[in-house]
Amino acid sequence: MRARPRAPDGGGLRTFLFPEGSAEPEVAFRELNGLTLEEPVPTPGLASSVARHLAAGRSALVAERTDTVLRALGEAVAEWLAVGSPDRDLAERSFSAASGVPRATAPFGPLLEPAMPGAIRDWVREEVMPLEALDGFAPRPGGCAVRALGPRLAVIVAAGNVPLAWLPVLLACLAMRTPCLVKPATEDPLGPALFAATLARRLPSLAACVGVLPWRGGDEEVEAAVLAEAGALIAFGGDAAVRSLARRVPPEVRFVARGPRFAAGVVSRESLAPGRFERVAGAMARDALLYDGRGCLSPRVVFLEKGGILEPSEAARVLGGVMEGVARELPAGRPGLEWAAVTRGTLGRLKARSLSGKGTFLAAPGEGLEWAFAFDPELPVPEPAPYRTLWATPVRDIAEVPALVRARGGRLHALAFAGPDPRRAALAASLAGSGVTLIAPFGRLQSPPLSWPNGGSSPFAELLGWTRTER
Amino acid sequence: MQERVLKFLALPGSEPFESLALDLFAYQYANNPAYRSWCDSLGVAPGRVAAVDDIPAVPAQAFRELDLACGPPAAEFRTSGTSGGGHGRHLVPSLEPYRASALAWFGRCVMPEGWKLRTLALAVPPEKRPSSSLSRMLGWVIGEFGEPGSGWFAGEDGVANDRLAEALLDAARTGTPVLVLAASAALARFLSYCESSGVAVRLPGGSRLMDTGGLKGAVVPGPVPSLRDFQAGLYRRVTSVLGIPEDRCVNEYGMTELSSQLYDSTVLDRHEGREPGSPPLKLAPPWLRVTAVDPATLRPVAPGEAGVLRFTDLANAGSVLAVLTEDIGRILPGGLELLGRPAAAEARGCGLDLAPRMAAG
Repeated sequence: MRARPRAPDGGGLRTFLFPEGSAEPEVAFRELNGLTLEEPVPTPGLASSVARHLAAGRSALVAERTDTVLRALGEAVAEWLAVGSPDRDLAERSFSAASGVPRATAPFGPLLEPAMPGAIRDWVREEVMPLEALDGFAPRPGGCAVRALGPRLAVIVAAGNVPLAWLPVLLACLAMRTPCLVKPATEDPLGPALFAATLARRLPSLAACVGVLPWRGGDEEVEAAVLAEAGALIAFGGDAAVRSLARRVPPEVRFVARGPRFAAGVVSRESLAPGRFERVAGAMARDALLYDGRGCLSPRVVFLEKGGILEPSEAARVLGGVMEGVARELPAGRPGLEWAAVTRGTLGRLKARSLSGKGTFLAAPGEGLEWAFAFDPELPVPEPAPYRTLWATPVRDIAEVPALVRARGGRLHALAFAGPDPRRAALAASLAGSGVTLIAPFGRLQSPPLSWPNGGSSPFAELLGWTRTER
Repeated sequence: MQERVLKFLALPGSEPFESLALDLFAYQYANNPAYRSWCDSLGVAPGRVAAVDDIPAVPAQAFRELDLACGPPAAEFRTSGTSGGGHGRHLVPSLEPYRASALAWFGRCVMPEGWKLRTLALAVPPEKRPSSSLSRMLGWVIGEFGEPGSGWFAGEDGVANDRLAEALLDAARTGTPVLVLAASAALARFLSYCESSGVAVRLPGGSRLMDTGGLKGAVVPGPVPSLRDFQAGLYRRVTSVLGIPEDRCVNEYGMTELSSQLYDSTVLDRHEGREPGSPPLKLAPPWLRVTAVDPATLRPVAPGEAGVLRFTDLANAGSVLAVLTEDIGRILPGGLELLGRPAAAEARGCGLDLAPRMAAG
């Protein structure tokens, strides 16, 4: 079954895409803000059929040259990056409708740009040495030869907090000739199917190797059916979902968990100067509010170093003003009742602290929850972190940051930094092994390079299987 | 003002709830400096408030930071949670409204027959934990509803399992109905003790259980269950181990920042010849108004819709009557359906913890 954005018989927009020969699904239709979605009724039999056909399609992909595959992947990304791309437009619309996050706040562009065609090739070349090992046994110094192939089938369970978080893993798997079955998130009902369709149009062998099947997370029968065919499971999701899957993954299936993480910012005293800090503040606010503050690269807390021309409490007031402007450009979504309730409670506590003279500064739009900026000299950002709130904490020296990162038990995995290069280098050196996997300038945090070792490793290192022959 | 409140607690129809609530708001605005500053920051003063729902509600978390009292406290009750650092403190200038509210509604919802029963409390007595509002309330309950042989079966080092089991076996042997009062988590641990050591009793008819606290502090194997599933599972075990039927089990919902409590309607329904609902709804006393509000606007949601719970508690006469919680529920014709207490929820998202159905990116 070839992918089409719209089914031929006047049906809806398909949230699924199966390889040729897979079982025909029963379908149901659902309205989503003016979009009619056509969804399969998932059954273990259907899941098994799709997974088996994907695994069977691998031989065609293995037969393709790496150059051919990488070119097709790059062209697909370029198609989505093009101005007016209809598939991307539809994916963005459906993500916004399903997640409640306005389109302006959840652009796909920053997540696609790192996967520009040349970048995919550079990434794979960096990760797989020699690159020719993906095509066949390739000689290595010393007279041996090596061959590299990925698992027979990867199941990718996508998450809905940000769109396209699954993209680097999908690209990596296809580069290593691993067919992929993607389970889309409820908040991103069309993105995976539409992108898979774009891939299928670029290279016939990819049509046989990329499938999309939605099912209810935790449906153990369907998940057992797909895992029976899988060689790897890459699960994006919350603690409960990831733990639930982990318990059921057969031992022979490689399991890669992408659980809850969050980001922070660090501003050294050198950057806390009038003129300089305003630029940093704008980028910081943008990082914090992009994707509605839901992403694992959304900074929740920023550490402001004392001793600059602007003291942290003064910088906080600058940031509060900047947040207001950026929040207009990146309007709020719907946080959900529980998150809103906890946010309301936390903001209430901050307001009480400011009234009781504890040095707290809180900037927020009246009684609304659209955004907030908090500065507190003592209180650490709580868990759960409040919705669309950037929380500033003063530190005497940024050398304190590694201890604060470790106190978060490895969940803090990315930092934006503003300050001189030597200080960034010193901070990075002290953070090695702490769980922090990305340090980037403010404004670039939400658009990480493909080579970012999300989770501490690359998909190639986690999934690629090597064979070596000795003479 | 306190005399008016006490009169209302004794005779809820003695005057309209609304007028008393608005007068109490004016009293608290005048006599509670921290609350006044809260109201002033919102630009709200008594003359500008015409409806109960417009009385500024203080978030429960603000009790960690502000001394919200209308006078020198006679008691200081502290919350048990320490998430985010610090305890919430409810400063109570007079215990009379709290006592009157607690006993009246407990009697109505848990002991509607007007009986007294041997009462066994899986809780720390108030003299050992004066900062616990629950201990204080249970002490009053034992004093009012307890028969000889009543007692406390927990201390700072936990539940006295052997002694409690012996007391329950004695009650079963002698045909003495009992009232068991327990924190839900402590009860769950005691039941585990009974199950692992083979203790099972059949308490006489009329025995009953009141538990409170839900999942707080509970150790549960595997995925964290919903509040409803946890409670239902707990009561099945109570029936199995203690012989108290599920329709004699009543869950209390209260919080340190309030002086009034809500109870499952189960026992009262049975007493008045109604079939208890499933799940049971929680009943609020006439002096406590429960509203489900939209957390973004703080305005009431439509009837039957889920919202964040806001309480207007006249028994909070000496502190603040309007309290905003982080708990989720909906108001149905028969009472409150408590849907969750997300502040105690686990992380489940990509650093966003509580965003529903969100996850890693």
